[in-house]
Amino acid sequence: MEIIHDILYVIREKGDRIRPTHILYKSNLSHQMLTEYMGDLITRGFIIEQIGKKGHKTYQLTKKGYNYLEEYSTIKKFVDSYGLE
Amino acid sequence: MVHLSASGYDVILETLFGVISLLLALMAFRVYSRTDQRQTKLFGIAFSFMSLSYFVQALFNYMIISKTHAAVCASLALPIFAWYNFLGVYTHIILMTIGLVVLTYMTLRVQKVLLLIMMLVVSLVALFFSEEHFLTVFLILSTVYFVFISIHFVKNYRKNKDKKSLLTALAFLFLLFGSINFMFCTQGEFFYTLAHVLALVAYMFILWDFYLVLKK
Repeated sequence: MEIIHDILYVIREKGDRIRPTHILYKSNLSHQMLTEYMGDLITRGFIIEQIGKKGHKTYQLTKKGYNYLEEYSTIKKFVDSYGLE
Repeated sequence: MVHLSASGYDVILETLFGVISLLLALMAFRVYSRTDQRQTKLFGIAFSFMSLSYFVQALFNYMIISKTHAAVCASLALPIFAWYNFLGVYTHIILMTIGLVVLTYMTLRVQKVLLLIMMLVVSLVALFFSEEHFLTVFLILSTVYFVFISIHFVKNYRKNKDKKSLLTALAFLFLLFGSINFMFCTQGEFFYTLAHVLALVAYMFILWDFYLVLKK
């Protein structure tokens, strides 16, 4: 949960459009782990991937991603209280 | 439900337990809508069934009380009284069993849906064929499930060591004590009342924890 929060937080802090290298640098994850997390976040609808004219990938938060960040504190307290990981 | 209070305190308590369980289920579904976590979905489903089972119990107990008062003037109401009791007990027990099975399955942290189906089938078949021992079998099953559920929450407290996890662990331990206590309900009104008091303490802990979760 914290890793997901950190990735989404980095994307939001970077003006909602960020390259994977920036996320890699900020999140302290290995390339392989980050790729897995990003794939998971796209599948679950937290972020969308966009490919620019030069073929660069950028990531953007969806409404679901914003909601997750806004309610993270309550979600985390609820999940921790009941051991729902 | 087996021993009926003339004052109907049990109807009020069961409604309260139903409302608290419903709040917990709604919160779990809200978290699920934000996180897509499978365990929160199972948690929500489990508490939805438990909530429904409490509402059914409260409704039928209320109907029994109404009919008991009516029966003072009309003894013809007695078959209806027995029918309400039968229908209420069976519906409550089946819904509560489903809720507890789903909650226990959630605590096991496994992905096998077949295991959940097996647990449901075994529990419901055991209840179906228990005939006059229906209530005893339910109480044994629910106690076993509460033991496993409590182990999960105690482990969670030992991992987190915070107030919220402690409240949750205590709540489920009280529900376990309440379930054990319900086995002695046939011994008299005292045990029936005590079981409700233990459940009340448990749900107060859950409510307190709920407040802490929502507090900014």
